[in-house]
Amino acid sequence: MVDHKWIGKVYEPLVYEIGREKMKEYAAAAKDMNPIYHDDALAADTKYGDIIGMPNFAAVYALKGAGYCLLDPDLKLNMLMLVHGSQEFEWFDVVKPGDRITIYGKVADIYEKGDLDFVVYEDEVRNQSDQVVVKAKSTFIIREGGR
Amino acid sequence: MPLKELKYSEVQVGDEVTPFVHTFEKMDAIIYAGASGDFNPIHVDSDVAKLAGHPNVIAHGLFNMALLGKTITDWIGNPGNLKKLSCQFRGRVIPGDTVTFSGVVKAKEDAGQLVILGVWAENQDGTRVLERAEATVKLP
Repeated sequence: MVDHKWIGKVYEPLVYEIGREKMKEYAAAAKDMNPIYHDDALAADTKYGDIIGMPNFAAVYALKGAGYCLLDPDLKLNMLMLVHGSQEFEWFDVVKPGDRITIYGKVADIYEKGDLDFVVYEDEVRNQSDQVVVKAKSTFIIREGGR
Repeated sequence: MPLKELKYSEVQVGDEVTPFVHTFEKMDAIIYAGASGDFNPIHVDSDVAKLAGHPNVIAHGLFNMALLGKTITDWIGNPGNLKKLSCQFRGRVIPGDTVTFSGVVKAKEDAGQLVILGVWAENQDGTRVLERAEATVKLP
């Protein structure tokens, strides 16, 4: 099992700059060719004034901190036995090219069910105006209590 | 130019989200790995996937979740109106699997003009790929 003493562990804030072409690349990879994600001229003429990130693009910037949590030597997670159990995103604002995003992540919970270990990572993502844009919650499952 | 937006008054409990159908290919996972930065080999290397007990590479859970997000935003028009999406990752998706992404209106909350959707994804056998999934949209 994963030591419960790490519940509440807070990670150093991470900074991520939202890039125009990366946003488009992600949306295309997710089979979404909505012009509001791809067409700069059309998007400039909407209320957003520029292209916006596909909401699920949060999987890239909001979950950047989750990677650090999974590889955290304190937690000693067995990556071979690890699966992503569930994911939750809550959006408060859109992201646009050039936004500077800061990710504040923590270990929200650690618990067991049978021979499964659960690690819950949560983060809050703020933009350059210190507005919350996304909150993310990821639950990872380590099978067979693997260490 | 105004974005085409689904209106709160146009939605009734029981309405269905227009489903989206996608047949997964190995190349989808390779492209998604590059776009997302998740290069876990079980998604891109068949040999590693087999060592991990899978018949072939498996789709990223977050790829499936993104297609579910697309299904919802295509239905509501303005993607900025999607406020929340959650799901459990269940059955694996392997190349050749055809996945249908669906949803239904479960509730409306007049205060805030919120619409709660039950959403899910299932493969050609009816096996759930994304389960216990829920979305909240705020409509004008």
